[in-house]
Amino acid sequence: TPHEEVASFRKQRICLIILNQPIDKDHLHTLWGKALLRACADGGANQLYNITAGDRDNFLPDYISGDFDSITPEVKAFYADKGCKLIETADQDLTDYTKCLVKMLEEIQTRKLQGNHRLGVNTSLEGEWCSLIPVGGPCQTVTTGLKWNLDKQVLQFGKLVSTSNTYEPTAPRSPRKPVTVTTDQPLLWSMGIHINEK
Amino acid sequence: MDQEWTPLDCLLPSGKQRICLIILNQPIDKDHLHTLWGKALLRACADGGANQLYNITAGDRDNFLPDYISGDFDSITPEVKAFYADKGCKLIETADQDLTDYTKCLVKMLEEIQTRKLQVDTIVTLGGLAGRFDQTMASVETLFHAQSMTQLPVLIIQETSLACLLRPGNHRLGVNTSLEGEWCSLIPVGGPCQTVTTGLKWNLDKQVLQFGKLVSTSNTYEPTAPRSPRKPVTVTTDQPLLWSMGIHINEK
Repeated sequence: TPHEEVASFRKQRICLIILNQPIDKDHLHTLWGKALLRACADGGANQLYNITAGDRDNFLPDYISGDFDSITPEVKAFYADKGCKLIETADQDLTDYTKCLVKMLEEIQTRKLQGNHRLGVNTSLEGEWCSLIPVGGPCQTVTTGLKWNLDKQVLQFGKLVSTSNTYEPTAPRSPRKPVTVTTDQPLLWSMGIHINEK
Repeated sequence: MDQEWTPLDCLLPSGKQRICLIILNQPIDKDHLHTLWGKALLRACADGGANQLYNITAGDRDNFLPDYISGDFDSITPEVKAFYADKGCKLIETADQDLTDYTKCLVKMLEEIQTRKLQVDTIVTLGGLAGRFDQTMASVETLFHAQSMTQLPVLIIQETSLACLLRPGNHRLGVNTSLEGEWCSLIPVGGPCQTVTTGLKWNLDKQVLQFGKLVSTSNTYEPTAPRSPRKPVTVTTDQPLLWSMGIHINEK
């Protein structure tokens, strides 16, 4: 719901696509600062170029994609010169926006920006303990549903390793909420299995 | 650390290392216990480690009284606790924090070594490599913390495995006690380690060990001519690197 979006506004991680329409400067500054990836669809680059006059070096997109029939030669040269990736996507049935979005999703995948997980832990087979172990290297981690949650802390051997954790207590007869884990590197989840005494 | 250090010296009856012993809450190997206990300058149990000690020393408990038992005492049974308290063992309650019983026991051990001005070569831990997976990982985490707490090597032994975290730098490991099992390994648990080795069957030559890329498990020692002593294994690493090796159990 929009309500939730606003409430968790500070917590959302975003990627930004700029289209070929006049840009609101304040919106741009806020979104640009938060965005993990930023791209322009064709003439969106013209809009970005115009609105960032005097400070353009701080607003260089990760890539500009499109059939390049809207971007001006001047703008194209400027961003190419600054090292921005130019990805020409030939004219098809898809709009520049759609094609830009496709590229964005590929990049998110490639860069593993989306390490979101929702683990169901309500089978009744769960033991008491669970843990998150950064085997292999540091992991910036966010969790919900655990007794000791992580809020963007970095798990790392020698600094912080989550062992002997457990699930968030729930009201009697309430199902256990899923555990959510977001990580930027592979993270080892481990949990106890309840053995039924016979 | 270029001087030769022999991980399994502590299990050799004729071994020269002066050790201190920590017992964790895992089933204890009786032979290991007897050898280590006899040599140890200090002996301690971390919480439920006392239960393990109590069980394995039935019939001879008076000869196996630890210097102290520390922990949050949520694992030690009332019966075991009362027994050791009664015998004069120090019980040190370390309230629940972010540190495990093992880490807190190690902190206490280092304090005691300091206070009593003991000359110690190695801190040996029994248990910690089996059972709950997260607690095995927590044991490894304690080894990481140990590096900022002391220069002494801290090693963990359970069943037929030994684990020890090598600091960044150069190491020479003696592996010729006859107690070495067939396997050994180098595991970059905390992050990538650029590594150089000699003395292994599969040596590393400045390769980067890293989960997802290259992890050295099921390695072994460089073959030697018959009746020739095994050469030391040398390891150079730029980050803490977990050395682990098999312990040979003599069939009886």
